[in-house]
Amino acid sequence: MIKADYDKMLKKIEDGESPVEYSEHFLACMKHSFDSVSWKDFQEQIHSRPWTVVQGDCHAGNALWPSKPGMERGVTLIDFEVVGLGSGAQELGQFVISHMTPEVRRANEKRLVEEYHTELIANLQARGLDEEASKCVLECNISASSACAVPS
Amino acid sequence: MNMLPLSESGQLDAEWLADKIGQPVESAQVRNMTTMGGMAGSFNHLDIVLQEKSEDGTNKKLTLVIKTIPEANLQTSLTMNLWREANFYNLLADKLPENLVPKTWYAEGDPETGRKVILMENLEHHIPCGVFFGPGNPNNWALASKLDSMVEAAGGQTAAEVASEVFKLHARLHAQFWKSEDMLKNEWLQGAPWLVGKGEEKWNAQQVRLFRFSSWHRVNFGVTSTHLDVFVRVVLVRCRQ
Repeated sequence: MIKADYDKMLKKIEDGESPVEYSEHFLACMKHSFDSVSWKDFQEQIHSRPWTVVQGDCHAGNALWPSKPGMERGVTLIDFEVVGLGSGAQELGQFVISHMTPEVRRANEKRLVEEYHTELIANLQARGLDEEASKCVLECNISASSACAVPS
Repeated sequence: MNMLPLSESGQLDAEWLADKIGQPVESAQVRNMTTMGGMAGSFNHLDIVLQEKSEDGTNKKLTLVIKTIPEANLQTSLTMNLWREANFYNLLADKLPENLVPKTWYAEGDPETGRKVILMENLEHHIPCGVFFGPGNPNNWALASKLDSMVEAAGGQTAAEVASEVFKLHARLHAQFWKSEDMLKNEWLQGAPWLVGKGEEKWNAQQVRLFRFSSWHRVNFGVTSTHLDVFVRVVLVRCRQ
């Protein structure tokens, strides 16, 4: 499966046929990642976190902003071609890494996640899901992509 | 746009359209072919002349957007189930807070062919939130000379302020379907079968597909014209040349 594809590419790199010479650290990280891909682990992961409907391709190009102040229609999410069930926190991580500079991310990620968490809790409570809301604990120690609402 | 009764000159059948939007239609013309529209879709404007008259005696007008999958991208649509977007608008969008997503008049997706057609609200006076994040993202390269003026015209928000608003919209989307058991029945939603332990083979196939789609794979196998960003070169790689 994916391991076969990865090994083929690794051989190409080792044989010096790649247009790029990668750092050992980078290759070690990638090897660890690809060696870890397994259905069993994936199942454990997705059942250890809350899930919901996610837009699926969450980046700043997939939201529209009014081109002038005062327009009646506000910010709007678009492009639901890969809508699915998954981790809300993960899709916020995609948003952050796809467009933000590291400087802007570092300066704002904690506040952004806190605001997301507050809005999420308020909307869950508005739906009468107080118990679910109470399970959402804010963790934002490292980065937006590894933080957010997780069960206590 | 094979799902649409469209003439070669881009006239959409008025009777068909009237049935979809619930208003008598005099005529409807497709314009502005573009290559925008997500992974495989395309957007076109649809200028509609309604039979209903304005106070000045002229016909009322309405402009919508048509999102479709071009013939050349049908295989991609089938492989990635991109037709599912029609299901989202038909089955889930009306459960969301008002104005979170575009209003739609008609949506149809075909899992057998990959075709899709969505008649949706025209948001041409909006700009992608990505423009607030500067010229670094490839999506902004073609807009680089216009970014500052676009941001200024919109009100001069910072990237962080824009991200804050978008995060809140996602919070509302997520809260609406939070661990909703009903959603697990929608097998057309990506990931729904996986959450009930089904689809291991498809999941494995998707890992391979994503790997082969990645820039890393494409660069190494010479199937892309992608130029590596300077930041990537410095941090991750040392180029031979």
